[in-house]
Amino acid sequence: MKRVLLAASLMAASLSASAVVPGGDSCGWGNMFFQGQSGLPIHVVASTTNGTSGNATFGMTSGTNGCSANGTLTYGGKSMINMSSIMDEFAEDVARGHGDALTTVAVALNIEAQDRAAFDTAMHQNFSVIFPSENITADEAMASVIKVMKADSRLSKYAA
Amino acid sequence: MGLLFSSTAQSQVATHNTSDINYIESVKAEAIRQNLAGQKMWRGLLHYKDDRFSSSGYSSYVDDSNFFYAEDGNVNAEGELLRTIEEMFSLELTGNEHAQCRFVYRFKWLDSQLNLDNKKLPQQICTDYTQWRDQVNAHSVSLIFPATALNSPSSMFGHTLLRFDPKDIDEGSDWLSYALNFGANIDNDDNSFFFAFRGLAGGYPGVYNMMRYFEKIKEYNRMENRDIWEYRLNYTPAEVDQILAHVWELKDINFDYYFFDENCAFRLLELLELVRPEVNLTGRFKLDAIPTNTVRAVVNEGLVESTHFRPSELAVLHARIESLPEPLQDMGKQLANDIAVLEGAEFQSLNNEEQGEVVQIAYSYLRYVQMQTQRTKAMAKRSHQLLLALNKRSSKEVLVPQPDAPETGHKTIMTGLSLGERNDDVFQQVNYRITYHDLLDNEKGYLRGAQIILFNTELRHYQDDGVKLNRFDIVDITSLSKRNLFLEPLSWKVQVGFERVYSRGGDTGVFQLNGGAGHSYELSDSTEFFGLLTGRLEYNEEFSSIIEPGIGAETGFLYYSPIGAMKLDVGGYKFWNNDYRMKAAFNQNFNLAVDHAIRLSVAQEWHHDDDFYEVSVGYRYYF
Repeated sequence: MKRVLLAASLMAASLSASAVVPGGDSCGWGNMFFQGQSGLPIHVVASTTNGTSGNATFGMTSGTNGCSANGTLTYGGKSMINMSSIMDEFAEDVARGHGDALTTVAVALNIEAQDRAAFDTAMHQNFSVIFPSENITADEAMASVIKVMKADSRLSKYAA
Repeated sequence: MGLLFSSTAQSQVATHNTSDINYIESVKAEAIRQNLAGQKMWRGLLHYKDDRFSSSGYSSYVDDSNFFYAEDGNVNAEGELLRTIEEMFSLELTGNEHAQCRFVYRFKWLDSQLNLDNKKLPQQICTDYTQWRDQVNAHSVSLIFPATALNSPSSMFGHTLLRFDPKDIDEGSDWLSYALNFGANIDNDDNSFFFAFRGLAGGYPGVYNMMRYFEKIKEYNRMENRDIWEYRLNYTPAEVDQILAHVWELKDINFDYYFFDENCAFRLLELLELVRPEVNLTGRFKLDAIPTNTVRAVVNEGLVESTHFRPSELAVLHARIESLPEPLQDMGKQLANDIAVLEGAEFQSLNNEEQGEVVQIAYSYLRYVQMQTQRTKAMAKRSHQLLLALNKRSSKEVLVPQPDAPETGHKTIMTGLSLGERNDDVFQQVNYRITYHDLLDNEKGYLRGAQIILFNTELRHYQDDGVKLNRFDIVDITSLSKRNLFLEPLSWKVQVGFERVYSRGGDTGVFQLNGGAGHSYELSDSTEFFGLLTGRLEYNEEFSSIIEPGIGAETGFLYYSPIGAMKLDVGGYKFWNNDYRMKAAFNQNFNLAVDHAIRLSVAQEWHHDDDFYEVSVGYRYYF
């Protein structure tokens, strides 16, 4: 289950009610699909070439989204890394059935090399199940990913 | 947990007995006897540099008292060494706060040099370091170079960082690897201009930070549309471990940061040198550490095992667009704005593969557009509909042709000698440019249409008129970004400096600032057309006003042929005081070798009181 939680956090910034919201609303990184980049270009211009603005991160905690100094993202009491920002990439890769974001999530789910193609196919075939509308959140999408995996004979062992 | 433990359970601080104190003193004496403070490794670990303003003749790049145990540790290598040894035996702190855990590499090195007695050392459990090191599951290291991006001045020279990969990276995902970045810790409120200014002046402290590599991919590949070059280095897992042990010591430590020399590039080279003292990387830089030169140094020292090119999302989109015939491009653009195109007869008549490509460019384009705007309901809905459509069709990976790697391009300092004639007066000229690339220089390894010149000097000698400064450009930047059906970037230029203006009565040195904005288009693979509206402010003693404004225009063609690039352009200004100047010029570069070129230049100028011609031919050397 630990791996599943890790992967969930790959796609969700502020998860469920039990989650500590990292950085809060001012963060600009929502967890909704196709989030616009409001405020981000300015942030990027300021931090361009030279990295950090405001707070430095060191890959230690999960607060690596660059907007919370010590916002440890927790889910079920575990501290997680935050990859909310690849949700759009993941959706596109699922739609196409291949891509780096899909591989990344597979790795985070601890899916072994010989089962990656099965994972890609299962995701591809269930795009409309995982992403039924543009208004779903990252944890909803992740819950569906797990459901799809559980229903697949080769993938169910990773979703246990 | 260590902190909590030490503050509650240890109400009484233990103290050393006499035998411990004697032992610690003997260790210190031995360290002095071996002159550890003078060794390259100690100097490297403390980041000392020669500094003639310092009482000791050196000082540390680190500008942070948390990095030193001795009060004068930044200028006193031996004092810091002795204090560090004492701290390694300290009984006051435990766990993460203890010197053994805080300065992991110093401890390992001192232990290896002095063979410290395990029984005398207080044993520490470094939870934070162990956890961090476990999380940064590194087996190899790569140098990462996000290439030049022109539309953000502070990134114009590119950037470098390190990436740490786990053992099975080839079958895993480098998105999850850790990137180590050194950069100025800047205010969110600063805009690009002040960033550049304060960066040059050393107005920000520099710090290291680490994040998952996908954060960097998003930042550079997607938001800034920069290609990323990745160089896997031949460092062993043991050496990688050493680098990380030292990186840990630099957590939350402030360095001086200067844009030109003590920047990201320089700091990373120091790390690579520290664990492999036989390589010489930082010694190569006297004046500047431009990121491309970092890459060049690392390649030249034979540290690179393999090279990987990661094109920007914009490059991928360009490649997708260009792989389709124009009617399909049109359809893709329409589809991005109107989902009903999916139901149209035109779209329905395409085969599955063509449909997939049209949907893909529509989606990619929409995402590009979305980068600059907020989420709107309509756009999110359309994006989702496009993904549903894409899901039902085939989608192929597009191959972006790999350009020449940046380190294969010409070097960044240029000097030139030329011979010319101006209205029957023969002249000789010496040219020196500190950095970096002009529109006509050999484009191999550089971004086409991107000119960045800093500190360009021309000294000219006329037979009967002595030596004169002909021009001195402080900054001379031009960015020509091609527009097409989908993308509509602005092209622009800025130039500031001194130049010699000729008139009937003689010549005058003027200070000027000029700039312009406009469009450029690609007419073929090797031809570009551009047009800019321009403005100019000039300080000219011949004028009655102190600052004379003028407006004008400039247009021209660039042709990139195998022998070298050619530019034909016409431009001019009309000043507020009715003075005017026009100039038509033809310039051709002949690429002799990567670092050698011949430049031919022919120009005709028309001023309100006279006209001139100028012809010159010169040799250019890049080093």
